[in-house]
Amino acid sequence: MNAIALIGDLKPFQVLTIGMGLVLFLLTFEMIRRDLLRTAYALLWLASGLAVALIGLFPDAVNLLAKYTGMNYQTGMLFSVFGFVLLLMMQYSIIISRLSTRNKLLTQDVAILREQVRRLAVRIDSHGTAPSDPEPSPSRSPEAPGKAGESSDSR
Amino acid sequence: MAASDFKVLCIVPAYNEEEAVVGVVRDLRDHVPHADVLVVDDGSVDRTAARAREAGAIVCNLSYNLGIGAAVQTGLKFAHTHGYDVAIQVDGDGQHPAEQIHKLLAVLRDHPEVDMAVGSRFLEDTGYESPVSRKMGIGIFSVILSIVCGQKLTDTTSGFRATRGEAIGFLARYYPRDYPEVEALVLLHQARYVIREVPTVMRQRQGGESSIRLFHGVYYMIKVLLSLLIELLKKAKGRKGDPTSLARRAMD
Repeated sequence: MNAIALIGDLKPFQVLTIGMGLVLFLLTFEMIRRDLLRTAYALLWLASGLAVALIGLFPDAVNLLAKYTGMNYQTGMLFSVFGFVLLLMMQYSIIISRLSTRNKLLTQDVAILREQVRRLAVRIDSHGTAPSDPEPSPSRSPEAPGKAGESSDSR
Repeated sequence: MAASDFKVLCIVPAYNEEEAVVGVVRDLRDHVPHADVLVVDDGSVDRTAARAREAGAIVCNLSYNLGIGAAVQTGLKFAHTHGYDVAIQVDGDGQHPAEQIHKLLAVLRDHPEVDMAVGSRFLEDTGYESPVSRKMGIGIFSVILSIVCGQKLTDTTSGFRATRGEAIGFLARYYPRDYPEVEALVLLHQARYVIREVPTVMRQRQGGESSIRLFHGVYYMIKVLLSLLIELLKKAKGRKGDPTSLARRAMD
């Protein structure tokens, strides 16, 4: 068969690369399945697993890239891997920045709410009942930071 | 409208200031009796919060240290949420004398177009002395900010400010986190809010050390200038009088 012939033609380094790509892909998939990883953040990993497998299957693609850019095969590989890692790190920086901003918003809201709760508790203690006219009267309720749904977990 | 008709909130950010905070709160209650005093305890590990509360302040506890920018912003959010007309920012270390607040309020009263009054140590000779290196740094900021904002600004790092109305809501949403005093001026200017400096007398810093230490002065300046440059390249965060601008979300 054609496929068997193809496998027979694979060089050891190709088998290794394809194997690595598939392991990465399946590992990512399993992590998503176990709720350790959110699908939104895992797409890049799935794609990279596939990319590694494809590079193993078609090493000529890298050779082609190497030919057109004048780099040799090793440099080309290093270049692509480095670029990919940079991309991933950038994605993490963005995510961390967003998390820290939202953390700040929540901390501030908690501080303001805690003070309101304390004041209400004092009033209830002294009146034996909840006040009918809270004071100072909030002219508007604290805004909820962030849009609902945007950051919600996919689960 | 008399200055005392404003519903005023004094915001005092404090981080481990158990010594100074009582004096600051009492000072404010004596000199601005019609104002509420809010101490934002920025994750202090000492008795700052308890002392401030004993002295008659409202206290908001941040769960951990967020830094001066976020602490002040908490106060602005509080003011915005509870519908205060004017929010006055006062340092927790006793640098800003409470008896000078009426000058800020007077400017807001007499000039309805002004959104923020900034207390300046250098607008008139108030006898404030600072080291030469500090003076140089302040001078450079002053020149750059004056050019950027198209008006003379002499004390860009002053944390003694009174903000009112819509501008409180704007800053509650967009108050910068890292180098807040200087950047807030730029943000306000870009959104067409009106800033006016007011000559005020300030005390020399009592004990403690400035967050802008001498040794780190140059590094600090470079960082501020860089973030200022980036701020200028960002998209303007809405306009004064444009309610939809407040609906947009802030990243910092």
